[in-house]
Amino acid sequence: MIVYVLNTSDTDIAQLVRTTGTTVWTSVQDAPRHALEGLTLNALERVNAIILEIAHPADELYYILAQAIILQKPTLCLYPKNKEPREVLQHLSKRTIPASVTKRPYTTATIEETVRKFLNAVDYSIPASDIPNIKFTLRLTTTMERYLDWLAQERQLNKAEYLRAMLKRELDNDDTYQQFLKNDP
Amino acid sequence: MSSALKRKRVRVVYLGGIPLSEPSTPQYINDMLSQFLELQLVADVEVRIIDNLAGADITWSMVGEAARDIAAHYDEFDGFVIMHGLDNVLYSANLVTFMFHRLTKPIVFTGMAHNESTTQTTDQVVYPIIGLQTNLLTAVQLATMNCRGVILAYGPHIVRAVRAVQHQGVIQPLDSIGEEEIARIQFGVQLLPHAPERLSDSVEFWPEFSETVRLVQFYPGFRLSESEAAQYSAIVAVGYEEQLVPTNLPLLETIPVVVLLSKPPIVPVPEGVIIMQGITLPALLTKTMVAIRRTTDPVKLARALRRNDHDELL
Repeated sequence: MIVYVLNTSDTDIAQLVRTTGTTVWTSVQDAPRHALEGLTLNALERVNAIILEIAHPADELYYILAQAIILQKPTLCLYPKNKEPREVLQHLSKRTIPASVTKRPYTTATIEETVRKFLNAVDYSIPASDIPNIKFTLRLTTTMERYLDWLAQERQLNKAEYLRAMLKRELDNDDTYQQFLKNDP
Repeated sequence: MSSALKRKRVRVVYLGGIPLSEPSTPQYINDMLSQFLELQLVADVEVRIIDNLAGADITWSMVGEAARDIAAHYDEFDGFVIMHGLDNVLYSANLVTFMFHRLTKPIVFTGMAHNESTTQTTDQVVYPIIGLQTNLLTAVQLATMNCRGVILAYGPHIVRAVRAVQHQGVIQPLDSIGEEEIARIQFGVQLLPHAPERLSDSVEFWPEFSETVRLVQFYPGFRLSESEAAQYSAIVAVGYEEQLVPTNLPLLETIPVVVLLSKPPIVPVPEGVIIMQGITLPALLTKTMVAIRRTTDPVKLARALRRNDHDELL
């Protein structure tokens, strides 16, 4: 899945989206050349979803939002909870705005969940939450268990957290798996 | 909108460009354009409806009326959009170009670039109404940006009217000669570095133009009698390479003849014949239409045609 992100706030929304395994484009430089050949309307035709931070103005923000509405692309309009852009929100509340365009407030604590929920609605293979809630029983040898104890103390993480962190590193760096995610229908 | 992005004002002048079922009243068109409310995100848009015609049916006087409307409201708006069918748009857009001397803001022509049936290219299907909405939105956006001149926005490549030529493609119906397009649509609208920027100078409007300039393409047996030619204020011809014009063309003494060649003439140029090169035919015709109303003196006319005020000469 390809997501276009337009964001000039301090929160790195693009990187947050990348952690879900999704391809992110923030400019034409991110798109492979062949992806932009034969465009009839604009480059947004080639993306599956759009995320816009609407409280921090960028020159092309309203143009892109308008195009997203025309193309009826799944679009998430984010704004900080304490900084509502009233005029834009008023416009986005009109009945004629398609259901594909949603608006959500965010804080630093909630933004990841908000983005994941949106992406999950577009692509079910992206988990809506990255909170570990699947129980997994793993039998270890005594040697392994002693090593894990020592590692947890050294790294100041509990054993489960350490193992999850190790698995996540493997997942993020496994190019074959990342390619599999891209090709998996 | 945030104060960091001051609202711009754009005037949309409607001549046609949207295939509508009859009858279509001005109110209906106004309501339809207003429903493209995505436009209101990028600018405060005001609509003036002159008529609703296919490009092939738009007359010179309608184009003149659109230009006069723009001139009358020039200081009130940041930019202008003229909605016009693809047919004849090269002529209309070039006429508007030459009616303004030192244009300081953008005037963007746009409309539907596809016919009513869906267009299929490779694995894409283009829906005409979405294409129209996108073109209109792009035109309004361009009208707010730091550019000037008469611009054509009928697809993802944006070209200047004075350099525009018909292209054989369906997706990109217009092309540009002597330069790249001046803007591209990628995610946003990207002006290219050579796009002329806005100016703060005053603009001059030249409302008069002749509708009696005859455009001719010579062919074997071409004839033009003196009585026929008397109806015309000038002739613009795509000339012959070896002889410029047929010897039976009678009015070299009475009316100016402007000949467009692709390379310098190899024969002596008769008096009254003005040779032009490196300009598109629509630009030459419309430039002549405006210039002939300002002077009929062949020397002054030649000088006026050879001025390059709009970067129309290659």
